[in-house]
Amino acid sequence: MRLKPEHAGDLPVLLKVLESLPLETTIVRNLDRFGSAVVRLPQGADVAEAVAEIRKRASVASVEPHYADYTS
Amino acid sequence: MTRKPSRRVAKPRTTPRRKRPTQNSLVTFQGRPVKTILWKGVKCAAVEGVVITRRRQARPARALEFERLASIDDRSLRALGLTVVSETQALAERVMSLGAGLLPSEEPWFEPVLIDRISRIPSDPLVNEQWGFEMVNAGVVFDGNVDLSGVLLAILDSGIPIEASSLSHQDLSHERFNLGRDVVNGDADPADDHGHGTHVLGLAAAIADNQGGVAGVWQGPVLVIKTFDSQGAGSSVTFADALVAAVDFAQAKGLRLVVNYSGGGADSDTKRVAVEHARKNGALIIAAAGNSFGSAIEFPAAYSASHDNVIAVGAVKRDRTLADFCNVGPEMNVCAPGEDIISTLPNYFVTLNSEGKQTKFDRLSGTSQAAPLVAALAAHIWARRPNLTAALVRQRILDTADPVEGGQLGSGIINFQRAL
Repeated sequence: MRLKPEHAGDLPVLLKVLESLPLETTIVRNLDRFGSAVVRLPQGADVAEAVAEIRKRASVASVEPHYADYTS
Repeated sequence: MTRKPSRRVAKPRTTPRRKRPTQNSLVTFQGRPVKTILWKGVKCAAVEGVVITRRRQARPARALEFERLASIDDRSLRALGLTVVSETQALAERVMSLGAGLLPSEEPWFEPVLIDRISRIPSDPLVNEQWGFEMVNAGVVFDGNVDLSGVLLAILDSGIPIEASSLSHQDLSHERFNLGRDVVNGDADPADDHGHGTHVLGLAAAIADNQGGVAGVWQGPVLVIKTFDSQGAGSSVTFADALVAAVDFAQAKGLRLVVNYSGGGADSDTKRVAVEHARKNGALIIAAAGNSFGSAIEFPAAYSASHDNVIAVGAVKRDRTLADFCNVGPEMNVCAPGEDIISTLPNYFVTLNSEGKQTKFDRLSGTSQAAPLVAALAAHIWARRPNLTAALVRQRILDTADPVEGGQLGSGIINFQRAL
């Protein structure tokens, strides 16, 4: 997910977003200079539901899967 | 009346004395020093202390007090109204520093004596098998006279051969290879455990004229960041991390930045943000179109439609037609050779060896193999024209490509000779 620019680097805001997600959710990559972070949902979690929850937060600019790239 | 016998006067020698070829012909020409100058916005080599002039009728030549240069034969030039003159160092330096090709209107026309060179193919034993060189006229980059130190070519791929903490491939062991991080495994060791990155790296930058196998078309600074793992997989996040790291590195060193990304996947907000960050910082991204046999062009290559700092690259075969595996779409900008391409592979066992490839050198096909030639061309343009923006470097590559009928190759096949 990427927080809005005014919240980039603001860890408490990120933690507030995570409050709406399942308890075992973990941060696997902390906020970078663009306000992007990667979080891992627990096994069996409903990804669509989690994405919908994250999107409700006013502090969030975007949320997307961790897309894979491959060599070409 | 008897005619006075005419006195024979010894004429001054008008033909130049032939100079012995110098040991290092790159720094002198006909015995005079050669220096790099910025002329009409382009870095080029010129003979020092010498200018060519075209004198105006109204202005007597003697008023300029030029002295014809004894060591350069300018008889053919004089037929054109031009003369090579050995002028004061001050005037020659003034001409060379002007860069616009013109002096104030009351003065005659001047320009430096610019050095031309023939195209040359390196002496490495496998160069004859690098068939793509001829198609894109890459021989012009091996003249060795252009200062490449101001441009960084970053290769975001599966890494570089490293054994016992040292660069281990004979064609990829040089101080100009800067080692960045392994962003896919999260450490500081960009050793290649797949092979794809070594192949791409060799195409772009293998050491030339070292009897080591192949030659890369870029002999300037390189940054290696490991972005794909041992299975050839990366992600939107590793792409963004690597791109940001490359921008940071180039900025810290004060270098222009060309990034080669021979991979791709889905559209992603993370990728867009990173590409935009690169654009704001003046970096140019060369990305492979993808190998899904006519599917839509992958991202980040497909950002070429919305970002003027991205070039989408497709692959062509020896017959100059689009490779069967190549993706297609309106985002395609240019193409380069990408089928059955020989280059470096790690000198130890990696994933590609388990798929039948040899160690050290072998052939691969893909848009991945086409992109590094375009990236190297971009770096060469920037080295010669340091004042261009990333968008103008991209435009030059597109404008000078050889058009190909069929409509799927974007502006066509890149052409080093025309672009440089």
